[in-house]
Amino acid sequence: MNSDSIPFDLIIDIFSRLPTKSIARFCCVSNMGFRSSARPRLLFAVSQHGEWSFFSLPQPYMRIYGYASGLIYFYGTWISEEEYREVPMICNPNTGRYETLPYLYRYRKLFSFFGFDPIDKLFKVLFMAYQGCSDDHKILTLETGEMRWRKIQYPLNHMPFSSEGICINGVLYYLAVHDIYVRSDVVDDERCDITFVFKIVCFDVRSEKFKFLDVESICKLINYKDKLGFDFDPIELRVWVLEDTEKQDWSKYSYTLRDVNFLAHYVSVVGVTATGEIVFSMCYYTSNN
Amino acid sequence: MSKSEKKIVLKSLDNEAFEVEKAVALQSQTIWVMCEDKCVGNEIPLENVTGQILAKVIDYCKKHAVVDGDGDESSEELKNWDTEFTKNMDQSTLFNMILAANYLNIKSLLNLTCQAVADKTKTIDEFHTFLNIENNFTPEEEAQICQENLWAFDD
Repeated sequence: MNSDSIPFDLIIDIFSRLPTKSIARFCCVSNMGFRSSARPRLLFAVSQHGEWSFFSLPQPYMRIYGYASGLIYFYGTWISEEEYREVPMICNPNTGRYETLPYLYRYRKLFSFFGFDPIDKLFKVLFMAYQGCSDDHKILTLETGEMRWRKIQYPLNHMPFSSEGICINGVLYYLAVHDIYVRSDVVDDERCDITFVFKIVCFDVRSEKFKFLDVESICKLINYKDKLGFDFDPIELRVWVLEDTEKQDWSKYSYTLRDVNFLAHYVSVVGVTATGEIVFSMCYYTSNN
Repeated sequence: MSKSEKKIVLKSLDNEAFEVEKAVALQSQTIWVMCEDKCVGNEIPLENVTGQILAKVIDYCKKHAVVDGDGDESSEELKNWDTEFTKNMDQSTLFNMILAANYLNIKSLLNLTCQAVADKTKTIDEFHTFLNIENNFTPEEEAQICQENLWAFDD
């Protein structure tokens, strides 16, 4: 028919305009890489006026906003029939299907995580309580039939630092504030020196047991080739990769970011592709960049 | 600006010459860069586009050009015009329009033609034919993929 062929990026462009059903059907189109695009891997979710839009590219990628094994976990979706109560919700971006989870009252700020147990193939949602209120730590298993929140014991008295969890091979990791030191002997009148001590919490989704890892400072958890990794400093990129959870054995890498663009735009690490390339995001990115 | 400077001649692969307003031609980023660099005279050779396709591209650009005192077309009308424009194009024309829009770097036309293909493509075979590629799965592989994605096949 034609001697010329359409460049691959344009094929992907056309492909991305097809409805999801067609994409799954069309992955039979050819071996030329479409198989991977059947499952959206590099995924961006954008919220606008209460509507969620998903953008996917055929790139393996792990971004965690409660993401595990193909499902996305949201909290805070307002459903009008439920008197604008914020409910937890699971979405399968592949099919576009949604499922709401039972409402759970929380006193204050919410720390919630989503994990997947690859052995029993179970998804679980973890709700950690805010310190100093009467809430319990709760857990819920996604299953057919009626789902209910169960109470769960947490051995230490510390709080998650944020709701950014990451689930790798059945273990959910998140950062928690272990201790806060306030040094009041600093002479500088109203300022005092506050030091946070962080730990990485490792929650085994299957056994529902907690373990803790020591960490030097605040950091961003990433999935580095199916191992836990984290970076410390955006200017000098330092990546630690956990080789052995039991021995707390870390491989440490350090890179200097030479590109002046990195320094000017408050670059942060958002994730890692399956091949080990680290994906960055620029805070103040304009089309001119 | 003299009259001759406002016009530009585009020459297709098969040596067909089209004289168009500069404002029309400059919607193509490729042509814009060529003019900006002053590396061409008033005649621009386009080695990748046939006369038949170039005529259509120019039709599109004329419609979308913002020429002095001629910008009163509503966006609704433009949209309808776009729909009509691609509606009766056969697959081979669309294919070549995409290549031309890509080469000439006209974003809106590329967008329009890619969307038109996506809208017209309903079956796997159509997509094969359009892209001119072979189904290089074995029947076993194909059956397995269909099995993995059963939800996509139930209507």
